Amino acid sequence: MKKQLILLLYIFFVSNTFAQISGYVKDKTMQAVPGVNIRWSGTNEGTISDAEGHFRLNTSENNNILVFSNVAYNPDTVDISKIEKQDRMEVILNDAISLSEVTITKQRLGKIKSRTAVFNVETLNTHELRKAACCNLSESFETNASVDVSYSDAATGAKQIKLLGLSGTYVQMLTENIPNLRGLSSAYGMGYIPGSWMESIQISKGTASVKNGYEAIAGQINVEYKKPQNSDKVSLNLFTSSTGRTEANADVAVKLNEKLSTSVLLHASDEFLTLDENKDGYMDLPMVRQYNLANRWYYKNDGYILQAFIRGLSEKRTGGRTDDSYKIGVDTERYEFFVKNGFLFGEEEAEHNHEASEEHEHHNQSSLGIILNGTIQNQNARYGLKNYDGHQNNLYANLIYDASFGEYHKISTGASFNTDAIDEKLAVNILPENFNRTEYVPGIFAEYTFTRKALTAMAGFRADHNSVYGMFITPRFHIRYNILDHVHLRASAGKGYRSPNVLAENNFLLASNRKLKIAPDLKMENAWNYGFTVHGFIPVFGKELSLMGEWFYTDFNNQVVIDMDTDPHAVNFSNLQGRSYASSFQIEANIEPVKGLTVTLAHRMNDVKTTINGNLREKPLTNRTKSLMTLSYQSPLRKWQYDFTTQFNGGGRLPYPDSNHLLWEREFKPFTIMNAQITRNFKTWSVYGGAENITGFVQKNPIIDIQNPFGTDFDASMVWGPMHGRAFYLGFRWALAKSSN
Amino acid sequence: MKTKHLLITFVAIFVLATNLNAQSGKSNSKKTVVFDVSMHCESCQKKIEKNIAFEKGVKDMAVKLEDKTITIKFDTLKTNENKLISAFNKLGYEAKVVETVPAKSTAK
Repeated sequence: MKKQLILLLYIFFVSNTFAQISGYVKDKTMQAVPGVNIRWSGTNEGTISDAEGHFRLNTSENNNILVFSNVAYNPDTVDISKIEKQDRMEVILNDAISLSEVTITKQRLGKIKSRTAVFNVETLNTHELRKAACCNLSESFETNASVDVSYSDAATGAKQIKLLGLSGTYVQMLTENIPNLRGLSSAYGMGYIPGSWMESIQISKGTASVKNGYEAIAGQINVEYKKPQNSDKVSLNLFTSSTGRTEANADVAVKLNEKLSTSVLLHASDEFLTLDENKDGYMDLPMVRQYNLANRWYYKNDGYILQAFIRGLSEKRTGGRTDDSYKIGVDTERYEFFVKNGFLFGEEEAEHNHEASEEHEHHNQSSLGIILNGTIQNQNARYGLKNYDGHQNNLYANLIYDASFGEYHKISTGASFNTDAIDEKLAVNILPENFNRTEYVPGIFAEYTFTRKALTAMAGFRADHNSVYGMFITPRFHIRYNILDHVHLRASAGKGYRSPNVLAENNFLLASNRKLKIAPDLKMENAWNYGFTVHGFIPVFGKELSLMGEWFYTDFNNQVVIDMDTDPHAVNFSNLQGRSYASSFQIEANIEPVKGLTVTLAHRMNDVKTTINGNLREKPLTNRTKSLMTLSYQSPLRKWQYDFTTQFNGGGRLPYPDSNHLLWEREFKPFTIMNAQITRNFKTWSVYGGAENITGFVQKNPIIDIQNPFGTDFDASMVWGPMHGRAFYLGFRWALAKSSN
Repeated sequence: MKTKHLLITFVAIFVLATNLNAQSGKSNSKKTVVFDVSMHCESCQKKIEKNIAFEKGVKDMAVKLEDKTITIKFDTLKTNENKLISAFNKLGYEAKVVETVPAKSTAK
């Protein structure tokens, strides 16, 4: 008691007589932030936080506003007159990446690699997303070196992504940090998220956090939608292209009171032209009509945040022969909702803890998140004479408790429950087959993070029980160490699992007449992923060159092997017997040589091999290399923006053709894609126009035996290049900014 | 081959665009002034940047939120300090001139 009193007196003495204040700056990952500029507003008086994020400075007589600033973070101000005991403050800065709204104007680099996160994360914010036509999620990666986007086949217009040389099914897709686009939606899901709804995208390569489940094998891609609490009041986007795509997007955000805001997001698009540039009697791109509507809510009270989201989607896809003799039709209906509750504890406690804080830091803060998410999807598809009907119900609940103990330790723990009911019916030549499956997966997880100075180490485990496949354990480890201020190392190792959904994921194969042979005993796919990243920030003539080298290796224990080699008229799905791996090495350089001009150069080498029918073979339809160059220039007042992207795609292998009756090549050759866009910004609106695939390169004869859509040779799955030549587009954006105080 | 030509063309356009913008600052009628502006937040900064950029005569601008200063390069034939101050006032901010940067060391 006496001791406390003395301590209290001591603090009183320090804080009033010497009029000094001190504190500690950290970021959201609870890591100390050194080198933060701390100044009294409007003056040059101040200090800089030390290597451990601590600072101390004299109070100012006529100034109560402290400004905290550092390039990697959003600046923050603290009014110390409102703090009762200002002897010890704790300031948490937000990464410049987390609030993309702000980032657009703060940083010219639209693509930001986090310097502090333990994961290898890349964020694409609105600024980056606006560099290309970008109609939906699948088209958002054009200016990105890590993610490849290609057509799944030559008929349905479905697009798939590849990360680290592995197909998109091995990438866990999240929207607002909730697993999404799983199961039925894996074939066409990349088109379900309109470009103008997205606020930012986070691409995380390699193993991920265990908090969001066990499904991330090659990586994780998270999409953040526009949020009612920080969106423009009204925004409008119109788009049209020479390929006949017309799009209208509108969203409205309303702040009902200090605590409650809501927004409505609308999207309608239509591709109404029958395109057949190569005159093969087959549509180059299908006609797609989509309506998409969402409503979201945000409520914030002291220590409590509620977010709710609901949306409905309807899509109609029509392709096939222009004379209607062979038709492809895919009708989709999808409904989604989520509710997120966040409770924060311990903030008050922290304020009452000042007595102790002078000697030891006690940051005993904690939060509880409860997430509930549900999806219903119906898909009816027709590929010539084949009919596919799919229905999926999904319900997902996740409870996460985060607590930090002292400066260095953080623990996240929780439990999740996921259920998928997938009913599929496939009728080939009027012979219906049912594929029904219901999975219940309860799971628990814990993750520990240790952060000190230049080191962050993280270990996570989860245990899940799948009602079909049984019990399994997911361990994941991450470490980040800044050997120098300008050189950061990251390493990770972790396991991932997923249940195969052969029909849904390979739906596009129905647009071919290959016989589907699915082994009855398919097991869960599972793999270890190892990653190593070196990221250096090198000063070059007063500019900062960011140079990054990374290597990721995915080693499959079990995989559903898609064998299109053994029989050119069939595709076999079976469990892996032997080795299967994907090795991906990438180097990327970013620099702003002249004010306003950003240059990115990247090169990647993939080595992806799978044991197919007893032989370790290169994975077909996978580029061996990819290079990317992007140039982006913004005029001094940001009135003009020019963007130019070139991709060099290396060649690769094609599935084995019938050796007696050679219908296609064994290899595909390298090719180049170029895109360019010009944007003109005005006070409240902007216009943009551009060209895609400027060189007009198209894959010749993408459909095998096109004349006989009902014959055994007919195959639309040999796709490795663009289906459509040069295209032009024009777009318009208008926004009524929210009023700022 | 065609690809290479196109690539060179685009790079040339970029270099040209960059140069054009750099050259536009060489005229004698340009003046660079630092203003002290009563802004407090990110959204104020955004609002100011968006609007002042479209004021007549403004050539370049650098906002420093932490100092509450805005450095503006403008064409003296088209606008002046007072006009810019009233533009700030219109947006709801107080502004005053802190200093005039000598013509040789213009704002970055």
